[in-house]
Amino acid sequence: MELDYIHMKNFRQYRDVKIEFAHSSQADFTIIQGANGAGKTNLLNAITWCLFGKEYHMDSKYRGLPPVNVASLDEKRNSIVEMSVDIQFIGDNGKKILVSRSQSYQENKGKLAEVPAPHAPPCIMLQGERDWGYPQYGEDAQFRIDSLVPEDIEEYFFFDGERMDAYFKEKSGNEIREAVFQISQLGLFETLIERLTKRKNEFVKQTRGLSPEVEKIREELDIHTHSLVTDKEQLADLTKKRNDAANLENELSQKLRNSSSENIKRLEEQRGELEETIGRLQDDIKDLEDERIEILHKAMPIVFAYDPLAKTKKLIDGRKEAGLIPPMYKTIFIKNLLNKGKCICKSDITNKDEYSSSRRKNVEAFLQEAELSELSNELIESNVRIQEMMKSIRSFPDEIRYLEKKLNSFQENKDKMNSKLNTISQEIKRADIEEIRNWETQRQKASQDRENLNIQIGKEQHIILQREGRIKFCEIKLKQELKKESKYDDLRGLLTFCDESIQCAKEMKDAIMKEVRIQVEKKASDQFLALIWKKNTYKGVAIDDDYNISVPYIDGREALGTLSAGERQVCALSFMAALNSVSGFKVPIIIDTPLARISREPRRNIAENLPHYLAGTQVTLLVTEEEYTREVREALSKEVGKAYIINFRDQGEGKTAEVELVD
Amino acid sequence: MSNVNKRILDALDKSSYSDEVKELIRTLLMIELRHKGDKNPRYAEDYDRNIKRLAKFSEAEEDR
Repeated sequence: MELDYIHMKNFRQYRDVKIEFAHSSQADFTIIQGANGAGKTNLLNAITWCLFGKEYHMDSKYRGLPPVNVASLDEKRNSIVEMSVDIQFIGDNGKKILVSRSQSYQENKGKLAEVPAPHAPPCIMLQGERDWGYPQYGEDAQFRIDSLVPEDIEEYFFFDGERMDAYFKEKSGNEIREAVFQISQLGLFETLIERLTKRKNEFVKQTRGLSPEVEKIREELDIHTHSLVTDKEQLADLTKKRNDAANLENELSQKLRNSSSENIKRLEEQRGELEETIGRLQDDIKDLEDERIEILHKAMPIVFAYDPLAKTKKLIDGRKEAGLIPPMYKTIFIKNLLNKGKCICKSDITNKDEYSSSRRKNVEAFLQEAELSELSNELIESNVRIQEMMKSIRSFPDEIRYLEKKLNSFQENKDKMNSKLNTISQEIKRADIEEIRNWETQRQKASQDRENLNIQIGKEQHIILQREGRIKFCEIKLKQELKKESKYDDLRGLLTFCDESIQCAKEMKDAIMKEVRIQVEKKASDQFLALIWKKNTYKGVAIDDDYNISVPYIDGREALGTLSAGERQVCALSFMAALNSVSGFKVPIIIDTPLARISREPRRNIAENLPHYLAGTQVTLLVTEEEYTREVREALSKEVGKAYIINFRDQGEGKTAEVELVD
Repeated sequence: MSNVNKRILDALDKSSYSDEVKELIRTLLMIELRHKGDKNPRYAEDYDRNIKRLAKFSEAEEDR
């Protein structure tokens, strides 16, 4: 889908302005140049207002002011003034889509009032094969618009340069995860799973005449399901608090690193490096502990059963030595002889006379011995297995001792580093500058809060795991109970179908989440490395499983906290463009002041690379004269299909802006 | 006009679950999209109707 034109009437400084966008596949960049305050961001606002009824990119100076053009109100005193924005798109099938929103105002005794419209906004019209379709209004129109540009993810299509700089400063891993969730609509799955589970439980609740056993399980299930929701809310709350504490800690570290004292800067850098090393050590300690637990899990049953195993082995060996195993004859063979009444030497053993009876007794004695060793094959096999088991744990004490030694050494190292961290903190607290001392005290508190919250999060996660286990157990028990009576067959069918559907939704969500994370990481990384002007400095952009973004240097050290404003902007631009490209929505991109924070040299590099990374996407850049330098213009010359200049006037009658097409 | 992300629909089509499960998920995603942003969405009736409708087919298939 591409933008065809936007027509603004009485919207903020635009009294009657129509802008046609470039949309040929050859040159699909539109440049709109204007000074600061001329109306670039309000153009972005006109788009979001028309589509969603909200100005998402509002400057603080406009907050609280009506969006209608003041000059028009002054001219038409006491008359109705209509403010409207029409946006025409060209759909992927070549057909046009017109979205309009209008709002009328009237000034009455110095007060501005909204005039009700005959139809609820917005309005959408779709071009058919021959003619335009009937207009749709209100909720139906909004639903259609949302399907073209989902409101939740508008910021990944309509970028605000100013906000982009702060993007990674403000956003925690959790919020980035949220962004990935929004862009891939995975939030829908979460709600769907939650509601499907509720409905499933409701089916049982609504069934009349449940047996007391089923009723009991259902009640327990109900309690756990409700508590799980509260537990998860609690976890989300703790996680948010932990992230806030971590953000504050980072912010204060940044302040210390940028402080005027060289000594404090050095100490803060040392602390950063130490914390990174401690983090790596912590990972190693965790790996070793996991290894230790695995060895213990494997060895402990054998260690505990060692004595009985040794006794069993001794017994089997004794029988072997006595020649009882393996047996000379199989029981079935002897039984066969007794049944037939004939020995292998052809003698009669039918008990018919004294001799025959005596021979029969001899054969029966063989049967007794053979029966005792009937399990001989299994005993021989078991003996081999017992030997292997006893052998397998011979190295166990050495392995455990070695791991414990390694663990102790790592732990000692970690303690030493923590003690160094303490010394650094004490030294910073003795700084001459009061502000620095305060920052350090606040930082220390935030760090402690973060650690405490981490412990609480761990506990809460454990509770949730237990609760989920209990729910699963109840569900299995419930199904077993329902199976006992055929009158529950329909209910059982419904529950099984719900379970399958919940499982399917969970699998889909996890798989897509993983796929999207990997794709976003790769695309953001490629784009960042292409756009960044410092070559061979950074490894790229990395997103871990918890959605924390990092920008490692080539040598592995973390660089995100030390990026310049321009570099941060490039990082955010790369990340957002990556999110956009994996979103599955083909929507034009508009970027407000994309190069404002980039110094002169790297601008050309960005301008040259941007079209490559946004290939196939219609792009509009809202730029200042300072940004749109000769080099940038040259670099983008092949891509730009239309260029405009915003002429802005701020005279007595109010602010007005006109847009002029330039060659 | 479908407005569920194409990536989701493709993944759903490729999954090995029964057609009834896939249809239920597709339908419920549309319902969720429709009610997104509603303060108190009345989803229960829509959910129950679709679950009951598709669970029946699913059982019939199993019986065969």
